[in-house]
Amino acid sequence: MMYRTQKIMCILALLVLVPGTSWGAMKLTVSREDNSYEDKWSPGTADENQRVLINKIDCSENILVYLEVEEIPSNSDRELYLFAGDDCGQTDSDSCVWIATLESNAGYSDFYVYKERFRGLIEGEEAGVETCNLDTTIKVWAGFLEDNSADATGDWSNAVEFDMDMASPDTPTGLKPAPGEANVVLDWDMEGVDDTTEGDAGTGSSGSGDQYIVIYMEASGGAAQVDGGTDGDAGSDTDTDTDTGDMDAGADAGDAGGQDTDSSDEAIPDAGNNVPGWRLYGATEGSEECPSSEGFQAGDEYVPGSYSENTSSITEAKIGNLTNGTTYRFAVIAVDEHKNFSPVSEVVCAIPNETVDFFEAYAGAGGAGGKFCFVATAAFGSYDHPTVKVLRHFRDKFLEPLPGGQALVAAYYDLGPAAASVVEDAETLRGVTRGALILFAGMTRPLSALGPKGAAGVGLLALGAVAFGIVITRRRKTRG
Amino acid sequence: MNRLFFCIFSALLLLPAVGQAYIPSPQYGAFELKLGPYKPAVDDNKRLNGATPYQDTFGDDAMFLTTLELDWQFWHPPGFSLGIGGSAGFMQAYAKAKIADDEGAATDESSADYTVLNVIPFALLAVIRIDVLADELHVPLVPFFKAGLNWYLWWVLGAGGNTASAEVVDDTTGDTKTINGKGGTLGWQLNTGLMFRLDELDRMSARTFDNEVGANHSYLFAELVWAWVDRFGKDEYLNLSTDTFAGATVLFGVCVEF
Repeated sequence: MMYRTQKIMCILALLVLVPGTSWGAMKLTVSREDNSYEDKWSPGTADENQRVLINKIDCSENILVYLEVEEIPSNSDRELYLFAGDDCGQTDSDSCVWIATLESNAGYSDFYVYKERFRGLIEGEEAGVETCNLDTTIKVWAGFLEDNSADATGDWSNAVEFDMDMASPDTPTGLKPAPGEANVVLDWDMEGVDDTTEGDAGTGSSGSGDQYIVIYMEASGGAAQVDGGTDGDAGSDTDTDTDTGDMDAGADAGDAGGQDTDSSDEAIPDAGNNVPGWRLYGATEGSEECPSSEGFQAGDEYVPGSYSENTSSITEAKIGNLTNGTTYRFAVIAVDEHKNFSPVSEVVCAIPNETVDFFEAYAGAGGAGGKFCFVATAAFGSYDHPTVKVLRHFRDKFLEPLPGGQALVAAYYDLGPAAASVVEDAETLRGVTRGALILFAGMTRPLSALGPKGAAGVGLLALGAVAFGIVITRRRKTRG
Repeated sequence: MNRLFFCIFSALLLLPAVGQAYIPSPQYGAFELKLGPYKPAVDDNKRLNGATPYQDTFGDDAMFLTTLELDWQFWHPPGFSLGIGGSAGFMQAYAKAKIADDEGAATDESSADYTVLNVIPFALLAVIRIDVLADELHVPLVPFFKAGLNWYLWWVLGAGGNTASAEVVDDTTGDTKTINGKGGTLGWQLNTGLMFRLDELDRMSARTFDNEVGANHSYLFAELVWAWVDRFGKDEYLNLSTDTFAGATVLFGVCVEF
């Protein structure tokens, strides 16, 4: 097996020095500073319990974690060191191993630790072992000591846990799409078993997902494939991938980015992109039919739709903004807490379509229900007369949003036809009604423009101004 | 002797009024909360020509109606309570919308979208309660009758949760017009029912309730409602008349007279 060139793992410690004062116990925390090294991964994230979550991709790539040490005592004879072990700083510190040193006179604030040093801690110093352990928690401590031995005199911080999970969650199954109007509702089963004993990398399963991502695309017309790297080998699983930005799907843990000789496809995130933009590669050609087992086809371009929740119990998603009559493919990927991704689920197809709601069915069968501006239409002779339009605008923008506004409008529609029939038949009355409505429409224009909230605000301001004026006037009279 | 008589008389005055007759507080009105099924007779509209859009969309299930009523009892002749009441309620029917065929008509296939019919029924009623059995004979049954006008505000939600609308052809002009899925239908109704006066189960508690809160009587009741909500026979309005049990519906609730 060929090994990729291992890159140096950098742990950047930001020191907050408090000169001349000893504050007591040092504090080690995971800082959420942005990664300033653009070509390096920042693994998962530190969760709210100050655990650094490392997944299988992190383990095989670079890790950059910001660790912040606070309340460092003042002592010129000591240096700050990082150690890893179960119980550093205690009487029995045999298991503690030095990781890195930050010298106070170094002139720089970050330092490098060889990856082999860290991996040796994980794998027990086994030579040639490249895979990461599936289920390990490493504790990292900061020690402000006389030298870099774990039993040296000095002060110790609390521990920060590096929690590792190399196993993918189970693949979602039982996808069932239900078409709607310009949308599809997808639900699926997640029968993952709570995994307490994880096997080897790439073969174990970490159970159900912590969240889910739905990927979908139009079923016909695959676009040109998009390659995140520079070697142009997207879609090919046989050549060596040497650029840092490209990952080949189909890799199991350990050879991501390297030569991919296995046939199973697996979706993994694109390096350097915090948003999981999926690029799926496979060996089969594109097909216009809904694939039943081959998954999304090589070269297909897709819309990276995503739906995620914080609980694995949510196994339903509504994908909107689709085009009616177009066939779409859907698949689901489970993601666990450590951002390990499951293989892509089976692919299902669905066609969003126009739907018929109850009122459309009722009106289509001959039922009535629509209402018009009866009185104004009768007076002006046309539903589209400009004044009638102003009154309709007033109804929509001012009256209906009011509390009880809809009831008021509905009451008008109920009584309006009777009044309209009277107006329609009398020419003189029509003229009078037209004049009154033109005047009323003029008054409604500013109200329609402001809307109920705006009108209320202006009203309150006006009221406040009047009240202020009254107060001022009365004060002047009193003084006078 | 005079002193003894005076002491006894004074003691009697100072003793608490044991065995004093209960005087109920004035009674002004009643408050009711009632619930029950309600299936509207939407499909009875003649303009539908036998089509059954309500049945096809929502099936046979009735909506669940919740109503609050407040009565003002302005007259209490012996054995009766006469009043005027107003009520408001809410009921809702929802179901999956159907997939449309190429002509835009509904197929039998259900979509992922929901369609909802919301109804707020209002009523203004004259109320007669016959209290003689309960007041005079201590038989805890109070029949009642109500009659009045109602007005049902309704609106339909379509795909996306917006108010529904439909494109139809105008009968007179032949033009295509858009009609909105919302409105109000006027009608009238008759109610009758029987109330069970809970006071008789525990008179002391009922008197305490009256003394402390002012609640004269409390009841459980059943009420039959016949509602003709079709704008007095006009086909241009959504027919929301009762059709739960052969033209009527039955509601159950609690009532407090205060």
